[in-house]
Amino acid sequence: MLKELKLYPKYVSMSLRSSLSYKADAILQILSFAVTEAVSLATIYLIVGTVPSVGIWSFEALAMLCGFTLIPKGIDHMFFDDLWILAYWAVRLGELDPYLTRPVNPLFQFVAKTFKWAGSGELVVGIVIMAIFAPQCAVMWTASGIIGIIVCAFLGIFVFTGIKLIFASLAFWVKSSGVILNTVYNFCNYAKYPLKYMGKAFLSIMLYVVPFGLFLYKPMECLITGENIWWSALWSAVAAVALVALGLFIWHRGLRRYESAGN
Amino acid sequence: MIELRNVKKYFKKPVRGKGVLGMLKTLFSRKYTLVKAVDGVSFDINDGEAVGYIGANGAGKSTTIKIMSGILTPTEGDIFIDGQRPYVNRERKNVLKSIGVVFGQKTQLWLDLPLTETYDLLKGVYDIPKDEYTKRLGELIELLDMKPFISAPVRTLSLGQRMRADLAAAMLHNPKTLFLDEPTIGLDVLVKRNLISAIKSIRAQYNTTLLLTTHAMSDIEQLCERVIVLDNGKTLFDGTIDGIKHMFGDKRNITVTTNRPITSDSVQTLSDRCDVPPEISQDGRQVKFSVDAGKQHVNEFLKSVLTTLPVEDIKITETDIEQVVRTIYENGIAPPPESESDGTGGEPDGENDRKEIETDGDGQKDGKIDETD
Amino acid sequence: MKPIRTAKIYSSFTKTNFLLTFAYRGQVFLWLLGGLLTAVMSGLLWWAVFKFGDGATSIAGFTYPQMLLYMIMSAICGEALYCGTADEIARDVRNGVIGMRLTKPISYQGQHVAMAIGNFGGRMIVIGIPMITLGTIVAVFGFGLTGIEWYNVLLAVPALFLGLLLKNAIGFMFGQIAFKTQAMWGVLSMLDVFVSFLSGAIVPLSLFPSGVQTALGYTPFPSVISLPVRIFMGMCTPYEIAIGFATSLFWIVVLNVLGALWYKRSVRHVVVFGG
Repeated sequence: MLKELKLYPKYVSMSLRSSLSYKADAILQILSFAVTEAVSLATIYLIVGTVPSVGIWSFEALAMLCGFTLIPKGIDHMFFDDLWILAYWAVRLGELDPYLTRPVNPLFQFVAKTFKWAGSGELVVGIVIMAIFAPQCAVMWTASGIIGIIVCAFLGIFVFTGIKLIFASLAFWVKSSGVILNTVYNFCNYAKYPLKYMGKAFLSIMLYVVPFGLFLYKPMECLITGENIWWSALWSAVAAVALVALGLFIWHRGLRRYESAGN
Repeated sequence: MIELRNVKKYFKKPVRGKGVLGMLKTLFSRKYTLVKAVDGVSFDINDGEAVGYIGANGAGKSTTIKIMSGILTPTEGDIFIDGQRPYVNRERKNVLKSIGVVFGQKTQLWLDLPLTETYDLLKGVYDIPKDEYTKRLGELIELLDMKPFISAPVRTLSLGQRMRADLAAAMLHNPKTLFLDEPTIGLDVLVKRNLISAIKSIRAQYNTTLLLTTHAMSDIEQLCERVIVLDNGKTLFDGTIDGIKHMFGDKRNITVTTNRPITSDSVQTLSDRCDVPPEISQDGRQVKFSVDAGKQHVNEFLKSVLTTLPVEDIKITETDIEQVVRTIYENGIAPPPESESDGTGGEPDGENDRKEIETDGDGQKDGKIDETD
Repeated sequence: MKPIRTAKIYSSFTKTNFLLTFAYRGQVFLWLLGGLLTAVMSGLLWWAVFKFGDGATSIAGFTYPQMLLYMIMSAICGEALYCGTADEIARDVRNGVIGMRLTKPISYQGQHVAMAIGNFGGRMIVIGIPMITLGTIVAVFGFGLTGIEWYNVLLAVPALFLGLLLKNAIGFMFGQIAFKTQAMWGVLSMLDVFVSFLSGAIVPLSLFPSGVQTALGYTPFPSVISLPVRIFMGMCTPYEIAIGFATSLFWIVVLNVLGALWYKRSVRHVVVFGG
């Protein structure tokens, strides 16, 4: 573990320097994050706009929730983006070979080799949206609340990562699992709706099956209603640990089935 | 010391139907083809030995190396490298520190950055002390003549340069054993010769144990004392270079193009000196001789060719691995294969020896998951 | 060249891409599973919206069963109409094989149409037809949807096909950007989001402000998803269908001509400056 920590800055610096030759790519990526988010916000506006009122959730509050979603998502994007490559083609094309022949955790090498600074675009877009809409929401800001959402966002990074690892590792069985990963990952968009009013089934799925609601929606709701935010932080921690552990388990099981290329 | 004990690696591939209907059927069928890439291989390699590992395409060479270097887990059997198994989680790291691997078709270098960056990373990966790293890198740069391109981005290197750089990357942590999988693939003659002599000097300097797979018999002759021939996942031959030469003969294929048609009578004296009768093409303007270089001097034979035939052009090729394997079959050491391998370049391993089996899902080790496999 | 041979060459592209869809079995099942999960989630989402709509029986002209089927169908059609055209052009340019394509005796543009048709066919069989059938059964028998007639279902097929041709033409046009920049990932994902949103794959277009709806009527986008799905569900008058088909055809011609002209320019660029 210590060795991995020592190596990490080296990986980041190498990755940053090699990505300097693809600056235009990163800028267009950031632009595309912004466009995707604008469309997502517009979708919520159109759907929620059909309902006369959604109780405690004003559109401004929902927009703030949207912005908040982007923060753990963007950070996960920066650090663990290559899990997408694992899902789509690394297993099928045998691209894991070189990482398996070195005496450092192969999963660590695989995710550490790419530091996606374009992910910071999502982070910034998220913070900007929050900054615009937060003052217009009826939120009582307390120190505990602020620390609470920061903790939830931090834990949320690992929920994203865990879910990505679980579904990307399925590629060891099905060769390419990008499509299902994409579907499940995009479920995080459903956490941007006022889950409180979305019916029991929808809420339960978002809290217990794909727990995006736990660390994205719930803390924001607590901020608005003034409920204790630390319960959702606790459950987010449980979800993060459980999902990352499950992801690691599936990855290790899968690695034994790894076939490299050419078969 | 490397020990292989009855190593097997099987791959399961769904049987694909032909055409649209067949494809649709495939979606719901549980039929698998079992590809036996490696099928019960055992051998030992002692420290400091240099072993050539040869076989036709799909014979299972790369698969064996991939198991030895920790990439694949064997289906059955065990591999010990100094008593440790590379595919067992707890023993992995120890094994990997003592081996270096180069795959000819894939580079492990960081493409957009100068070579030194990758080496610097490897220094951390293998915990190489700073002094040792500096000393060794210096030696390798010298040995492999890498000074001209040491600070150029990897993507600008030629294939030969990249191969040398990969070799240095694999040698940086002073591994006891070096695995080279097709290191000379795609290199032209001169570059290849340089690379071979570089590998030779590395061996001379560090006394590294070497396991090398290749298509070119000449690579092995120059580098190895011992050869293991693999076919259809099984060992066909394990012995010295001399032994294998003795067995199939050191043949040269000589193709002569003449400026007018000739008959078999006119090559009578020449064909007496060959084991196999020469083949004359239909228009009579091309003859193929197969000469055993162990039994007579090739240049003597060529002289006779030049004097007896109206030669326009001569082409000489050495026996390749496919021919060696075929010869071994003909000599009756192993049963002939059910199908002839076509032996065209770069095809994946383990295409031979297929057997269709029907799996019932429940009876399988990973039964549940296989249903969606 | 004889027309039959030409047709054969193009159809071989179609066939290859068609068969590729089935290449990995596990993937196909995960795909279906993903489609099913998405359908359930958006069904639940709209269920809640209808419940909180103060008992409104219809939103933007859709009853709940209609909305359910629309969301399932538009998502699935969006998936089936996935079109790798721009992606493949980018890959051809990046790998430098575009020059080789120029020497082939068939049209590059036509080849992409052939491949897109193959993709579409494969995806329709793998997820399109099963999911649409399932969605229709659930909507009709579970929630009492009415208005689905056999002639509408039949009419939806050519409409969807026109949608495919439109999407391919848009893809081919924007694929030309690959000749200018290496950074195609961002461009393509933006294009994808835009086309999905404006074609009604994410929410029905009737939720849009009326001014936007009118403006969209003049663009090719509604014909990609919204039109075929609404035809299928019997939500279009014969007049709307006729106008819709005419608009699609008009745009298919215009976009393909524009794409061809742009491609000609790109190619000249390659010939002059090297690929």
